[in-house]
This record gives sequence, structure tokens and C-alpha cells, in this order.
Amino acid sequence: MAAAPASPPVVAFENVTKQFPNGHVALRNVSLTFPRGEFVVVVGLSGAGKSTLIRCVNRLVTPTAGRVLVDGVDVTSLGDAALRRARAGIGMIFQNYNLVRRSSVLRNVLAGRLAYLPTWRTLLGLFPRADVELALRSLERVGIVEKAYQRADTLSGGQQQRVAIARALTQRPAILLADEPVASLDPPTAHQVMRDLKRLSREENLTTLVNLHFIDMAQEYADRIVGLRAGEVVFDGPAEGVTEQTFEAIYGRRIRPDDLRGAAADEAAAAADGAALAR
Amino acid sequence: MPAKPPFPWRGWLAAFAVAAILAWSWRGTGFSLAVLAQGLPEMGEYLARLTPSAERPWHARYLPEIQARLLETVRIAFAASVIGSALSLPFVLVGTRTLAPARWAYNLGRGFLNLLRTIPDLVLATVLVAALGLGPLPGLVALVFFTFGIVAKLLSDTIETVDPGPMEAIAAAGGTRLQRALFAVFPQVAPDYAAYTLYAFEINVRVAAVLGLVGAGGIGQTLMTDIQLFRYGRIGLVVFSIFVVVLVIDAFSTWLRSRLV
Amino acid sequence: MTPATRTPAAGGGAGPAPGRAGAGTRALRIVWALSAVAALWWSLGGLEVTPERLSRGLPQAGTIIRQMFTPPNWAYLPDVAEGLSQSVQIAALGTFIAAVLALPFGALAARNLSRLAALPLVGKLALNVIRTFPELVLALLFIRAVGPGPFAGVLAVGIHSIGMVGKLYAERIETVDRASLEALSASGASPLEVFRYGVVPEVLPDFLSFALYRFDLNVRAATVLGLVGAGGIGEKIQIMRTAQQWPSVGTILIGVIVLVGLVDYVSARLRARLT
Repeated sequence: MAAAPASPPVVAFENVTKQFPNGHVALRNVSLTFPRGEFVVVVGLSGAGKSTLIRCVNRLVTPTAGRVLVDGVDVTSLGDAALRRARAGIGMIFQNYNLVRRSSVLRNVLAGRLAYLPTWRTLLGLFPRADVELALRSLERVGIVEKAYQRADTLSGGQQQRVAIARALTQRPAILLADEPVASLDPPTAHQVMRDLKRLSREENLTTLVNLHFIDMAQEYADRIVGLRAGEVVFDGPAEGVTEQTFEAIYGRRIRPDDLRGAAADEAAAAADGAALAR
Repeated sequence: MPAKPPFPWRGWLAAFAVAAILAWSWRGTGFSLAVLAQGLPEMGEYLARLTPSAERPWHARYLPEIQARLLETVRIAFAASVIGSALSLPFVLVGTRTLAPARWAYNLGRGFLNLLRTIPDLVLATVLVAALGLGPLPGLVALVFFTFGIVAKLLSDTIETVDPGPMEAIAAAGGTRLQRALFAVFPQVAPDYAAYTLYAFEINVRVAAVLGLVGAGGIGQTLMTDIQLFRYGRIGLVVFSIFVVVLVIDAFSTWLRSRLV
Repeated sequence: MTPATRTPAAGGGAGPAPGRAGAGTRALRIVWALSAVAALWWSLGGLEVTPERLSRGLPQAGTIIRQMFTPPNWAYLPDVAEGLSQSVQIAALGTFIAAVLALPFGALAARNLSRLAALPLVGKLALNVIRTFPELVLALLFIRAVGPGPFAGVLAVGIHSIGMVGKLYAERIETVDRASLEALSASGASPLEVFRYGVVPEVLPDFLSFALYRFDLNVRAATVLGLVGAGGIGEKIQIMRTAQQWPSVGTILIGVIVLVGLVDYVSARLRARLT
């Protein structure tokens, strides 16, 4: 199920190492390539370097050695302006949604257009009509367009995460990064968010990198699984062949109940989702 | 598509009101960037004359007087802080809801406090200069009032939030109102009380530094005379020394307060 | 003194904070109290505050205060209103200038916006330095530039207030969730856009509330600026005081008390609604 190997990689790590100023080595000589449209789940214990790995793609973290190529461009060497242009094409979703709480949902989603507009326009808050429509359409695609004019902090966690997805979509990205996107959500909502991510990734042919701790979710949604331990890639392969033993090898310990999110029956998730929409 | 939210009338109305007030103020104060731009070179020249130079050095012989006046400034601030905060202690027996003997006494006390706090310190000092004569005394009295107002307010606010358990216990043991205050309340708020006194002292030093501009003693008096006599070298030195003293006392007092609470 | 020395034991039995005052701390407290008294003695000694001066001055002060208010000069009220409204104008414009000019200072002094650790320190230092120059001293300086009158007062209030307002801004910005700013820069927003879309919406109501609070303080300040010739009601205080027109001074005082009280009340009400 791994995407066609013929197409050139959209994201490529070449011998990437990241050592933090305090001496902690988060990534050790990592080399990976991700082709267009692949839905990759990165698993590992906390502290294994998952978060650092995906943050190297949009350079929220700058590697200490090696190169990260995005569409053939080495992002590690970009200047400020070029980096912002590169980031415009990379959407990102966070564990705690990271919305601007006091702004409206629509404002939050429109923030995805900032890098595309001249600064004077954004400072005055003058978004082109097309961008507003794009933002509303993004909200529609995650099913919460009716909340557009509400303040972001009036929404539930699952709704906020969908706003964050809409914000990323509004960037019209080629790459989607998600850092523990469901860690703060209850099981039905978590599955709903993962289904949304997977569906949008398919529809837009997005190269998607998702950090997850839960092995059952990784198995359920991933095309390909990358396992990290202590900053090194210890597993890389299609999701089909992965078993509990694989995860035990990646984690270096036995699987525990808290490594599983728990399966939410589709009906239950849909019901919860419907309830959330009705609210 | 969702319904657009209603037009934010209230926000726009408020913005319009603020704009109107600003326009009114602009006209009333003769604010003019042109005048400012024209005057800035002169002010720059004036400032340049205040900095030490070969023609206008900061003479060491100015120092004894400046030192004496600075000392007077600190003395005014210190004495006012101690007296004012001491006076606020008996006041809170009336001006605090939980300690007041009766509702009317509390209202009366609070009313007096609020009235006192509306009088700007330097206005009070000016009037007192007329009544008590030039010199540090009117400044001291003005700052005593000011300190009393601020410490009494902060202290009674704190007392109202304090744990009422000990007070009940003293009352249950047959303690009087004064005993409740002395044994149950004051021990709990003692560090806050000290911190408020220090805080008042910080402000008092700043105010005492300018009291002399209205004739109420301290370094400001030297500054006013020097300005009137165009003694540039001295003006610069005086302003600089005020600056240093205020910063040092501020830093010391802030440090002390951070250790208290 | 006997009951007082028993306090800790009694308090320890009844209160939630037993044993805070042992014998050592009690001795320490007495030392503190004694040194405070000694320092007070030293301070007053240097100020020539003697019983004679007080006994001479206080009755005189009483006489003057009586003259002020029995009755105040109500015919002077229109002039008072004019002076007070000029004080309000000085405070309003000064506060506006400070609220705007404090923005770059506040952003600079906030620790979470800067990549360099030194920049916030420089910003905070600058704000402290600005705060140290009293309005009255600044007013004397600006009188040099623009001449005596309310304009100099506006500038003095405006510049001096930057210190406090900027500090409050910076502290508020520091409580903004860093992660939401990271999300914006991850989407390619420039630092200016991160500020505009991540910081401003979060802090704006509080910034307005700081400005209102400072306006409250500035109205007080603007009543005294006139004492050095920088406009407002203070000029009239100065004139009437020198002329010993006590009933008119009384009218002014009543006006100042009413105005400050009113502004205090309105500012507090508006601030309560903002947050």
C-alpha cells in the first residue's frame, strides 16, 4: 500500500541529527523519504524523537546536522522569507490545537492564508473574498462551518481540533504534519479526527506525517509506520505487516493498556459526532 | 453557510466615543506635532547643556548640598511611610468589614478613606505649604495622608480575605473585638502589612523627589531653584542623582518585598 | 505587654499557623520595631519637625481649611470646570500617546516574543528608566520645547506613562500561550503577523483595561501639572494659592475630588466589563 515508488519523494531526511543545547540527542542520523500522498504514522515512546522529527520538516526545529528536503529544496538552509514560503505549503496540527482562543473560528482558519498575502493586507485584516470563501469551505469539509463566527474557546476539544485541521487545509498544503493530534481527545472523537485526517489526505493527495502513541490507531489508519526509539529509526514498513510484536520491539517493552486508544465502533463515533454537530 | 454575526454596534460606538474625546482633547490642549518638531531641537540643546561638559562640568562642590537635600527627601519619604502606615493600623479596626463594630462605622470609615484617596498628593502638598509654610513639614504631612490612604486600603482589603477561623476561635473564647484583631488577624497579615509599607515607601520616594517643586522640601527644591537660575550643570547633576536614588531604593525595596511574601 | 507575649501560644492553639513566632523571631521583631522607631526619630530630627512648629502650624492650617469651605467660592465654579476639563484632556491625550508608544516597548520587553535573551532585558530596563523620571520633571523639560501650557503636560504624561503601560503590556504578552504562536509561524506567518493574529486578539481587552487604569492615574497627575506651568486645573490652584483666595482654592479642591472620584468609578466599571 506504500505509494508508488516511482514518484520523487516530497519529503526526504538525509542523515539528520538533532542535538539540543542541553546535550540531549533527539534524532540520530535519520534518513527517510516520503512520497506524495502517503499517510505515515510515526510511533515511539515519548521522548523517542517523534515530535522533533516532524518539526524538522517545517523547521520549527533546526537540525544540527544533515539535510531535510521538501520538494527538493533543503529547508535547513532557507532564509526567513524563503522559509515562510516553504511553510505556507506545509500544514500542521498540534496536540493542544493551538488556536488563538479569543479570535473567532473563521479568523483562526484564515490565519492559514497569512503567508500568501502581502503584509499590509494581513495587518489591516483585509482578506480577499476568495480566501474567506476558501476558509468557509475548509470548515465545511470538517463539518463545523456553522461555528464560523463563534469564539474559538467556546468549542469543545474535538471541534477545536477540527478548526485546526481547517486552518491547515486553508493553506492548500502539499504536506500535512500532525503532532499527537488525538492525545487530548476521548476515543470516539479521536477516531473521528483520525478519519477526517485520512479522508482529507486522500482527497488532496497530501503527504501526511502523524505522530501517535496509540498502536491500535497507528495500525488502523497508517499506510506506513515508522518506529523511533531514542532518536533512531528502528522500524519502517507498511502498516499491514505490523503486529504487536513489532511495537514491542519499537518500544523496547511489553505493550500496556495505555498504549491503546481503544476501538470506537463506527456507529458510536458517528453518533458522538452527530451529537457534537447538533450542539 | 453560517449566518453572519450582527454588526458590532457597541464596539464601534465605543471607538467613536474615544475618537471624539481624543479630538476634543487635541483641540483643547493645543497638541501640534509641528510645534513639537520645532521645539525638539531647543529641548535637545537644553538637554545637551544638562550633560557634563568642559564648560559646564558637574562640580564636586555641588555635591554636599545635593546630598543633604537627597537625604532630606529620603527622610520625608521614610518618616511619612512609618507614620502613615502606623496610623492605618487603628483605622482598619473600623474600616474593615470583618472588624468594624457596626455597619455604619464601616461605611463611614470607607467613605473617609475613599475621599482621602481622591486628593492628589501634590495638590494636598501645595495647600499644606500655604498653611504650614515652606519646607519639609508640609511635604511630610501630605505624604503621611497619602501613605495612610494606600496602606489602610490595601490592608483592610487583605484582612477581609483572611482565614476567619482564628477570629471565631478567639471570639468563642470570649475575646473582645480588639483582642480578635490583635491575636487572630494581625499575625496573619503582618508580612502583607510590611510589604504594603515598603510599597508606599517606594512611591513616597518618587513623590518626595518632586515635592520641592511646589515648595514642600527635599531635592525638588534645589531643582526648582537651579531651573529658575539656569544653573545647567547643577540641574543635570540633580536630575541624575534623583534618578540614581529612586532606582536604588526601588530595587532594594522590591527585593525586600519579594522576600517578605 | 504580658498578653502580647502570650500571643503565639494562644494563636498556636487556635489558628492554622502555629509556631511561626518562636522566641528567636519574637526577639527579631522587637529589634525590627526598635530600629524602625530609631530610624523614624533620625528622619524627623533632620526635618526640623518640632512640637513648636506643629503647634504653630496646625491651628493656622485649621484656619485656612475653615476659610476654604465656609463656604467655598461657588462663583468660581465655571473656571474650575474649565481647568478640570483641560486636565481631563491632558490625561486623555497623554494616555492615548502612551498606550500606542508602549506597544513596541511591550513587545520588545516580552520574553516569549524574542529570540534573543538580551532584548527583553534591554526593553525592561528602558521601561524602568522611563518610569523613573517623574511627570513634573518631564513637564519642566517639555516646557522648554513647546512652551508652557497643556501641550507640555500632554507630552509629560504621555512619555512618563509609557513606563508603566509598557511593563503591563509585556507581562500580559508573556502569559500568551506560546504554542498558538508556534502554530501561526508553522503556517508561514511573519513575526509581525504572528503578533497581529496570535498576540493582539488575546491581549487586546486587557491592554484597553491597562490604558483605562492609567487614564485614571493620569487624571490625578494632570491636576498637579499646572503647578509647574504645564496646564490643567493645577495652574488655577497655583494662582489662587499665591493670592491666598482660600474659598476659591476650596472650590477647586471640591472639583478635583469630584472629578477624580468620578473617573475612578467610571474607569473601574468599564474595566470590570472588559474582562
